[in-house]
Amino acid sequence: MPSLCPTPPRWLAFSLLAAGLAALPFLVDAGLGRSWVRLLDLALLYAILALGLNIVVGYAGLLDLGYVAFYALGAYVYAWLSSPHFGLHLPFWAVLPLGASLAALFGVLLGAPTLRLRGDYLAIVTLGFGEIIRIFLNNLNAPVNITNGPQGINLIDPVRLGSFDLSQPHELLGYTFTSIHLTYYLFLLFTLGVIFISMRLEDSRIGRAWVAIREDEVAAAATGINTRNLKLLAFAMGATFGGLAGGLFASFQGFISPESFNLMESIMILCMIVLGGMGHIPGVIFGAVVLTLLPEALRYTGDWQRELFGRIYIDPADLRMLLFGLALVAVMLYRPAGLLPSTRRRREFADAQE
Amino acid sequence: MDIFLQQLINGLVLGSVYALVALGYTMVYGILELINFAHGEITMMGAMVALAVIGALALAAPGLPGVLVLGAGLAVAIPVCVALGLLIERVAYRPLRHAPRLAPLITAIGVSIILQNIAMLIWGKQYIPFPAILPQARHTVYGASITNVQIAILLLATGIMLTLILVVRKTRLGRAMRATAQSRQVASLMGVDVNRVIAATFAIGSALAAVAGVMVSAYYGLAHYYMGFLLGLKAFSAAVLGGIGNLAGAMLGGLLLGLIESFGAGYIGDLTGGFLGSNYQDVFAFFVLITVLVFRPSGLLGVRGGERA
Amino acid sequence: MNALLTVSGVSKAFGGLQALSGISLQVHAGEIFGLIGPNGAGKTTLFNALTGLYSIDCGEIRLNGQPIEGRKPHQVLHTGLARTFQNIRLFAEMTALENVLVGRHARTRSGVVGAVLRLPATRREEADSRERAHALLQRVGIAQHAHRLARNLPYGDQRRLEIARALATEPVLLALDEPAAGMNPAERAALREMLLQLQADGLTLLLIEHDVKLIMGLCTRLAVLDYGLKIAEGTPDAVCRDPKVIAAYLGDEAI
Repeated sequence: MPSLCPTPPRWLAFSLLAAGLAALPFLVDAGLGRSWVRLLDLALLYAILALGLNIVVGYAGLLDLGYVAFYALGAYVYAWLSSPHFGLHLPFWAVLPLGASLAALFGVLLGAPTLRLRGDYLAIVTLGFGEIIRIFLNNLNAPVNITNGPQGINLIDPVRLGSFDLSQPHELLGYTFTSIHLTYYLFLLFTLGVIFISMRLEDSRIGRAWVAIREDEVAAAATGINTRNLKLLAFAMGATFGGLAGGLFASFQGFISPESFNLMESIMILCMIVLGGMGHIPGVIFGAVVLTLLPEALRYTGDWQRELFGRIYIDPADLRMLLFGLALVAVMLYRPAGLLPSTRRRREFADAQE
Repeated sequence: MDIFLQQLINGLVLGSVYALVALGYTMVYGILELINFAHGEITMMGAMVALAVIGALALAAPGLPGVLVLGAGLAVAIPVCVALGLLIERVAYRPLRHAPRLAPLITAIGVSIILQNIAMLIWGKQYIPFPAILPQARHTVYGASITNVQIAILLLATGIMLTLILVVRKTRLGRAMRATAQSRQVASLMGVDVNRVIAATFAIGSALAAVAGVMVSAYYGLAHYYMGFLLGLKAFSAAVLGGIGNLAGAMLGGLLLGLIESFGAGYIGDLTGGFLGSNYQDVFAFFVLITVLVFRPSGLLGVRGGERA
Repeated sequence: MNALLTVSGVSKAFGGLQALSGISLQVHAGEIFGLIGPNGAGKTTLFNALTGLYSIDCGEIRLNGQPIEGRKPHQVLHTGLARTFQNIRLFAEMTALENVLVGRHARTRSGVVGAVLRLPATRREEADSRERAHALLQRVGIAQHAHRLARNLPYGDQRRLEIARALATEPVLLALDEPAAGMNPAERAALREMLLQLQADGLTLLLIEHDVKLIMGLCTRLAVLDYGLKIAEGTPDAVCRDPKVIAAYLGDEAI
């Protein structure tokens, strides 16, 4: 089928995208400042989380409000095995998969009792699991100190690959790569990996089975899908990505505490995927980036107030969550299917070209 | 025995507050199949507004009897909450009735963030004490103590719930609500003004939330802009525990959750041989909730969804 | 004649309502077996019991000699019994092609690793599934809609798509719950042709239908249910003349 408008060749588009992503932290550093590069790192982390939850909620249609538990597990596994807390300092490449696997195991364990539940009942049970895990993290400092309670675990090892220490600045070709720049590339690598896996799964036997369960569970079972196994698989895959993000988060922050893993965090990640466009990978990533950056961007409301009124009436730190809430409502009212909904047209078109 | 009785009293008082809030969740869910996530924040708003009025009155007219002051607080808080509930329904939920299922959940979350932050901007981040306007008399019954406030909460909550049951069972509005919950389409074909019924549901739920908010702040002696979140969460759990969409279920679920919490806090140490302390009381509550739902997926009194085919 | 499906003494009650009482029947390989009866007679309940959606209270169901009662729906499907639904249950947000591809799920095996790495076996399997799915869409006559979302298809085409999805699971017995409901006469004629063609290809069909003309002209044998009881079984002609059947359809006064 001849294309209607001339599009640049794929390799050119890819190289441009790659160059753009590679240059992004430097552009942001120069244009907006170092703190925004840090936010960029966080946005990538949230993209991984959102893509993980997207498998559970977006594909399989299982409303999971306790997703942050897997994020927490990944982070704590990393902290236990790579900090002075237990005196263990296992290497990054060994700890990260361990955390992700443990999270996957818990995904299955916590998913199993919920299989018979539908919709909002599932939501409240997963929410309960998330809270239970957080409460345990908060209190397991006695009789044996496992989690160090509300104080959390400190001095977590940064990422080291051989002698290459990600927490130190490195010089290359006259450019200085600081720790947050290097973290950006590391997180980008993982994000691209997760995107790749999501894309491949979406267009596969497994992905279609998930969507079938979301669309009509009874018909899916009657069409030969083992709904129990596939739901558990969705929980496990989502949890794996959550655990992965948790490990990355622990190494990035160097410090974790149960406060980082509260219910609001689960809700935020859910907002990212719904706001961006559920089940649609670009939408989910977009949602993650927007919702990570928006609260920070809203700090500028202090400057706007000064310009408009000559003085600051409301502390921008207090105002920004209010505006954030308004933004959530406004987006949903005007775009109920999300900012970048899956049009499916593109896919139909691609399929027709086979 | 006195500890048991004491936990029973505490649990019933707390539970009847949960039940009032849970009713708001369950009525809305019954009709719209929507988790009105902002309902906890309406409860918070009720507490805050009432406290503001009570505080102002206590300053302006120190001689007034406590009950009158409290009544004035309620008299302002209830209409404010009803107006808020109606506004939220009209602006954030009604336009999304035919949208994808999770869209109204997100607007609900947005609205609750908005309400929290408005409350924070108006009343600040600090805890607001409940003025000592009520006589703090304690009565001792078989070794357990119960305060006037607790007695008032129990009586008022019971009265309100009985009234609500009567309204739903006996009045035209109640019949219209039950019909709408069965099928919105059929109800509208039968001449029920569905929009009005939904608005009435939000109004009633919000009024209950206002009363519950005042009760909670009187019980604990303080209020806070963030109090609605946890309260709402627990009340929603209570509604689900009882079988969401079912009024009696919400009441039962609320009372049970209150009892579980208070007995859990009291006995969890003994039950686990001292391994888990009272800081695990929420784990206990969630654990019971999860166990009930795993064995009864539609809650205690919920209609068994059955195998759809 | 060998029995492909044997139902013996199957009962199912919902609370106090006895939806099926001691139903026994045999469907022979290669025939088109009709299941008729007034509304609420228990036809769809029997379908749900056969396909594992309902657990049965007592009785035995065998497909090809294997017991299938008490099995999960996907296990029943694996043994070769596929079905369609009275109130069409397609995967609305998936394309017609994808719906049929879901039908291939039970007969394919690639997992997460295969999908992510696109291993050669997975590629072959996927290509084969797509080829079969396209062929099935062609066969039921909706190839032109392959890339449209199922929910956007016209009603009759949705019914056909459901049949294609069921066929993709390579059944030995296909159970159709009112396939002609809501179809116009032309669509019915086409459906009839298609079902006969499927029979000619060696498939056994079990059919719930209200359209008496369709069922009389199509079925080798049929059974009549009324209030959860089987009141007659036999060739269309014999069943038509059965006084119990006439009574069930027209009321007792007709006798």
